[in-house]
Amino acid sequence: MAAQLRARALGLPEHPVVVIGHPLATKNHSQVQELVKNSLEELVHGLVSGTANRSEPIRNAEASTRVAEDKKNGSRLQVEGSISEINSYFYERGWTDGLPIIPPLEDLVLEMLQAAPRSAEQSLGKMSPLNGTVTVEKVAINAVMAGCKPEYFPVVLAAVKAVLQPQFNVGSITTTTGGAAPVVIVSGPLAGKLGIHSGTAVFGSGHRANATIGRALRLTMRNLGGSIVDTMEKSTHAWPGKYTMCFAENDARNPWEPLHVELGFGPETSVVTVAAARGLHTMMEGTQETGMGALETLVKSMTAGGISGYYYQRWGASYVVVLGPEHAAEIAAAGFGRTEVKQYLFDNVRLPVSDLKHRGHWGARCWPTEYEGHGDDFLVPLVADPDKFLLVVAGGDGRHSSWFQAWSATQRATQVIEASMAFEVQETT
Amino acid sequence: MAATVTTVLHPAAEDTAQKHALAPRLPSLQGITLGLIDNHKKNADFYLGELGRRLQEQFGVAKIITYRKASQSMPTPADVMDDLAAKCDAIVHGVAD
Repeated sequence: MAAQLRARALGLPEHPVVVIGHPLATKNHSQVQELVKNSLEELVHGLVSGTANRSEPIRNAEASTRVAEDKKNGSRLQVEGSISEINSYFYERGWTDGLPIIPPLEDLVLEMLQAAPRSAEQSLGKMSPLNGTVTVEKVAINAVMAGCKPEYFPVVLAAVKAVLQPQFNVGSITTTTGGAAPVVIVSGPLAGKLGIHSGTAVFGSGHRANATIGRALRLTMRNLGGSIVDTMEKSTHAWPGKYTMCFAENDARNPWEPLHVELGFGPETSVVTVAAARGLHTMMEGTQETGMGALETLVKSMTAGGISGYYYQRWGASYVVVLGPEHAAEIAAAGFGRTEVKQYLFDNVRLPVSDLKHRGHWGARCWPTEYEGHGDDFLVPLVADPDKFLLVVAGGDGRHSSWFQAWSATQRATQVIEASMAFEVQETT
Repeated sequence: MAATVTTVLHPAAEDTAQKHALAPRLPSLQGITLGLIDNHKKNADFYLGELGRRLQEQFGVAKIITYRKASQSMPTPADVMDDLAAKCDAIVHGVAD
């Protein structure tokens, strides 16, 4: 059970937990009173005569898990049988996403590590919710399993470091029912050199770098953070981004400055940006002939019921908007730069209070206090400020664009990709 | 024929949890200050309110301090936890839904 596992990860395996039973939200008041009555004895027992009776304070350490000195390198496991049997061994232990893995043999892991700008034993942090220590070697093991080529490894490391930035709130991305998964966007010259796909079927299958970099991040979250169904993973539905979701900007067809330059990095720097999303929405506009027409249709696709961002915008989550190159060209030709597109979306992606009231997360809404008291006609924006739209140009021919619905209790994170001193990226031909 | 044995590396966490002792359980709830952390899920406030009321009426809890998290998906801020830990004899924290 999740609460007990989390308590164990925090070093308190004996912490008393009283289970009320899901769902609490749909019970009426007399049913909730009955639950209180029924749980009272167990709860009082936990406070008054729990299983332990010692004298140390309850809050006494930040880091509650650590890697023992003799475990600074991952254990070597002897597994008997064929490749298929090794896959079953990994699957049965909850170490895979259900797809086959490349067995992480020592020489393959070593090859991966040689592409790293850091030493194998170095810790990048703790992966919440179960707080496993994320060593460079553990990431390399999961990258091998995911099928990464060694030259992708600096990108994987940057993505892992990005999700470990505190504002990304990676543990809650696993434990939410909202089905969040990281969207990994690579921007900068390294994306093209590594063959990270940015064109036709950009979110589709068949692109090794995209598929395996995103998968390596997800396997790392699974194996170090405990992102596993029936324990810490609680998504009602989730979406295929829980397997992998990684892509690059389409530099050749981007009418504006690159994303990483907009974010304040130099043109020669390559960065990974992660944003937590609940899913991918596509929109089509093939009749309107101007960029304004495309923008108007995009706005309409983003103003619908059931989008949590309208209620939870104060946390500052980013909505990733991916313009197809044709729409991007039309919008640029209509005189819009990146800033103007984001401002247009901020001004127009709004719903009246009357559409939001007593629906969705109304009772738990968390928006700027100045929105209150304006009446039912007040137009609530999807995000708190225009910069919370993350604008990317990617995809192939066709008059389609997409947007990722943000999961709300997170902020995006960007990490520079550190090149290895001992490793030079080969130009792809 | 002998079965093939392959050496692979362990992909998951191998951390050793540093086990902390629980705070001593209370002799009774009589006269204590109890903290309640509401995770902002629907009905958590009503459940904890009722719980507090019963604990005051039936078990002699003297004072209830309630903190409502801004979101179920955001951790309780460290300064709030420090404040509650300083003021309360025990805390009941609602999690999940």
